[in-house]
Amino acid sequence: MVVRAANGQIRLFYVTVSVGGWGGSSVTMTTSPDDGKTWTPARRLITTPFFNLSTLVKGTPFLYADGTIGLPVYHEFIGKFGELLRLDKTGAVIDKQRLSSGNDSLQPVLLAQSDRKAIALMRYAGDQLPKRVLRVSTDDAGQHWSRPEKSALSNPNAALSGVVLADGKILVALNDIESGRDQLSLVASHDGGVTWKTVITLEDQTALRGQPLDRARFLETTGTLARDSDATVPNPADYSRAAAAQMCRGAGCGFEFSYPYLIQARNGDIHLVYTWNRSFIKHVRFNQAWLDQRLSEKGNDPVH
Amino acid sequence: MTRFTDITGLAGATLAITASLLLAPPVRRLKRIHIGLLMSVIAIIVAIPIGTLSPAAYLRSGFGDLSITTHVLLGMAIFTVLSGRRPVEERQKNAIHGMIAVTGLVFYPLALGFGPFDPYRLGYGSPWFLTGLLMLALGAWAVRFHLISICIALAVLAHAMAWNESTNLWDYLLDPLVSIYAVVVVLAGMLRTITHPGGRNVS
Repeated sequence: MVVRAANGQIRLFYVTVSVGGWGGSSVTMTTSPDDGKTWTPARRLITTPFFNLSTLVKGTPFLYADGTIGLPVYHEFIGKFGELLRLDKTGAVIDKQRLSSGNDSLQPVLLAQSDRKAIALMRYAGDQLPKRVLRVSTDDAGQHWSRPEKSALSNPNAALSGVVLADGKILVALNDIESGRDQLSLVASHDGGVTWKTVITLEDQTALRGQPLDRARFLETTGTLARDSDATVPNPADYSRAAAAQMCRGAGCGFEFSYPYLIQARNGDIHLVYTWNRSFIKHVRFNQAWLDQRLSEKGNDPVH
Repeated sequence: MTRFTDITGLAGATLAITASLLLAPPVRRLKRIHIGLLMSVIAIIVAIPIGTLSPAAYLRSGFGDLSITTHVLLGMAIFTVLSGRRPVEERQKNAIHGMIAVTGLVFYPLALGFGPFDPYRLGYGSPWFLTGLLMLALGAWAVRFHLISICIALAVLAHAMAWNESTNLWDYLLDPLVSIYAVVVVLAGMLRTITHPGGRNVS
């Protein structure tokens, strides 16, 4: 995860796994003073008292008004819960705040709507139906956070990403379904994440669920998807074979479109990247005008 | 570039390995001058890189920086081995072991997510936490548990000096290794009390 600090330097935060998989991970930071050409030696952040185990980062960092950095993190050791770290201008941890507790929330994504108002959306890792994205909110610049509650967005225990646009709209990319990761949607909210409207369903292979999907049919379908994504793709079969190597096991194959990451560039364009069948990273770019047009076309669609 | 906390952290890990080896029964049978020489040799060996890292660095990479409380207890153990004298009376050691064990048993589950309250957050400069520590240190001094007061005072001082990599005061007061050690020592003492009711409870 990357943030441009108040002094213009880029700070990169990433997960380092030592022992025992994700439970044994910690967050490491490195800094670039020259827009990514060179990087300082990596530095481990100390964020938990128990051998510094189990802190992971997935959500985009952000800057507070005083130049300190907010870093949404989560734990996956004994419990699964979200936290918000605060780092000073040198990158030292100066505070942390729990966004949830227990064993069912992961990967907080913080969306600040104003100097005082923000929400955080979290992946739901629990078993209780309905499986929905968890939402917490603050009205006092993060001094206090509400208790987690289920939002209107479905979530199959999968990562999501979001961004707040200049007009206050919140845009989120996620698997808006309760099981599987074979559908990926872009949704928008005008009211701080209370209600949502689907902007576009980017990927959807839910119709093939329950049907026997052999390798030949999978290759054909993914080839079509690759060609539809980019007509200039020279050889869609290469994409299909790579996807099949990841997604075909035993008797059948499946689809997965996951781990979205959404940002808005300085020129206003919105970039979305996501994992395409565990074999490629797909990049989708659109602008505010396209988004506004989509939302006006969807004006009468029901919200959820 | 080597940072200050790398030097202090490696020194702490060297102290831990050295003290652990010196406490082995065969070593304690040696003459004090030989123990002193052995300690110097061990300290040098564990600081020399084997491959890319020294044994001290391997220990530090796995367990992190040791708390100041651990430093104090290790230092006392080395002092006892070298001098043949105990730096503090047993009741003081029992008191600090008991306090570390109880604190560790409450603190770590909460800090790792058992419930909504995170006591670890208090270590980032909470005035209430600092006030509580001051009261505890003064109270311990008043009832002549000086070791507790000294450990708290040194931990706060080291935190102010940014002695360890962590910026959280808890990491200067407590670490998992000393907490596990204290729980084992306290349980062993309780077991001895139960099995030998008339004997001394020494930990």
